[in-house]
Amino acid sequence: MSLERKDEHDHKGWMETRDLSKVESVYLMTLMYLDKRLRIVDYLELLEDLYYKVNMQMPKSHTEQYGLDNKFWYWYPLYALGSFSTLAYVVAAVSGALLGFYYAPAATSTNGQATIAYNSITFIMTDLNFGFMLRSLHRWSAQVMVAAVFLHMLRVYFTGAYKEPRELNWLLGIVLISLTMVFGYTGYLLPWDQLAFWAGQIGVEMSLSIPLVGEWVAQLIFGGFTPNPATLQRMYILHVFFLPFIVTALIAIHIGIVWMQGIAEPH
Amino acid sequence: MSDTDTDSETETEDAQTDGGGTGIVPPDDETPTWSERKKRKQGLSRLTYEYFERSRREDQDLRQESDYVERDVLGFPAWPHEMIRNLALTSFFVGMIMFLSATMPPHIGPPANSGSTPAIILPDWYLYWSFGLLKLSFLNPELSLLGGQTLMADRTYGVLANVVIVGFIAIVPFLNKGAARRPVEQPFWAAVGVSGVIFAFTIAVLSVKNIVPIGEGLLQDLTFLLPFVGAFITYGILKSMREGYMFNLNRRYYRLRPPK
Amino acid sequence: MADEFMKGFGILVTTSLLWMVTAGWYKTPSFEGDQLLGPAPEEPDIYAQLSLVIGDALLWFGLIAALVFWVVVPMINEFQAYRDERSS
Repeated sequence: MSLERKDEHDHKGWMETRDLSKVESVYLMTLMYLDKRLRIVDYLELLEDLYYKVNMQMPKSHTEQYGLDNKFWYWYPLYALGSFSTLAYVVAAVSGALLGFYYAPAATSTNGQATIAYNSITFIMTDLNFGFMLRSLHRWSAQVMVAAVFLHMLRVYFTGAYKEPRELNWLLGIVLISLTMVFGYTGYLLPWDQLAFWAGQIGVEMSLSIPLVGEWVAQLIFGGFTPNPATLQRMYILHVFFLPFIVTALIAIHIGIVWMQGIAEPH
Repeated sequence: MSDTDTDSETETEDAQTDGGGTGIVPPDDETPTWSERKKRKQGLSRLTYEYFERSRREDQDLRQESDYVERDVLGFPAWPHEMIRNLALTSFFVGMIMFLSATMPPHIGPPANSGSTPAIILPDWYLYWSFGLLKLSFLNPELSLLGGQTLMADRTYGVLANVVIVGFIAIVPFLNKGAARRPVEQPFWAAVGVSGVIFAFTIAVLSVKNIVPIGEGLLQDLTFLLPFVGAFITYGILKSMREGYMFNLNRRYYRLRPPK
Repeated sequence: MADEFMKGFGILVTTSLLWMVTAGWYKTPSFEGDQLLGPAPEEPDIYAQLSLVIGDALLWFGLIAALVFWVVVPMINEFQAYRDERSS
């Protein structure tokens, strides 16, 4: 006789009243054990809902709902730019992870000699099977992502989708577009060719010209007052370690807010 | 159970201002409840549902005790309609990325050499506007008090220009409030947007120099003149379109959401 | 109006994408200097000739389509509406 209250939610007591086979009771015990800790009920219900919603009638489109001009459909690609930049980000992430197998951010000099980093890019482009496709996929998806992000911002601006409940998401979007450009910049420096070096030079000078803290910023981000091998190392770590985590998390929050608030009704 | 059903139905009917409802149709007679699902099953899955029913009831009891309130946000649901449409459209774009990368592999220049400055120093195209803002030294005010000295170094001035531009874009939602959404409803802000887009292009051209065969002074003037020209044209066009649009807008849209 | 805009836009985007590929292959002698609008190769082989012709044709098709759908067709529509208004 246990001292515990045998109430409505006493699942163990409920099990004892049933005539269960060995398999059934072990199954139920496992289910309860996991459910108590992981709330799998909720997730299973989500899955089930998805299963039943396949047969659910689709919501009305904007055109049907508001009796808009049917030709409104032609503007839909502009409303898919946010999804598209996310997808381009995923493509860049996958191809970038594969490129990471072959790239080493090592440079010893800036005197016109081919360094390890430069040689690994040459190897990817000329010797590695499918390597040129991998690198151009990475580069093009990055370019296209930046373009899509810019156009996405314009679409949001011109349809007034940043208004009332969505100001915070607009601010988050400004942070994301800036980080996307930083992503692109750090990646631009990685081949350590002439373009990369002199783009690095611009970056160093820009950070040096910040009043008061300029020199600290240059030291922190570029590892010196001119582009040097340490700069390459830092850009690499920013590009493959810091930025992916930060940007992925921010994108998740950005999309999560859109999900919660709904798409701004395009009128 | 039936009580709550009728309650929620009347609530949704109250919220129908356009006569069409939210457009989402929950097929009440198609999605079975937990107990219905339970009845159809036997064996382990039936047990699962039996347990889930109890678990749900437990949750519901707890929820009724709490003061949890559900909140309505006006917007169009992202799932499933928008996402399915987006996936269908974006698949084409991903195909475009693959086509581009198969046909046009990226360039790789000579190795880094701090000894030889190349003729062209440029970042990627999407940073041209920012790079152009760094070249605004000709706008840096010379203070006569300081004996012709500039207030700050040219580079500092350029970095500051970047901060100002990004800052202005960031505070747009706090400057432009109200229910207007379309460009015709807010010609001024649409004109601001158009001038911003044109300025992004002209400042990019300024940063690349040499790309257009005209003198530097003229180029600098055009950089700041063209955005204003674009803004005035946009404002004029939208203002004249506005009257014709207002009838439709009143009919469909302001009735749904009256302007504040 | 959106209809015409998107038709012209779709054609312009598709043709200029293809034009960019041909121009990138045959009209970009080097990274530094003219890109996409550079001089055509001196002695083009049959593929180069074909690509150059196709590229030019696509570019002009796209530009003319944009002009037609964005300017000419809306103008004709406006004119017809105006004439109908006058006659009725």
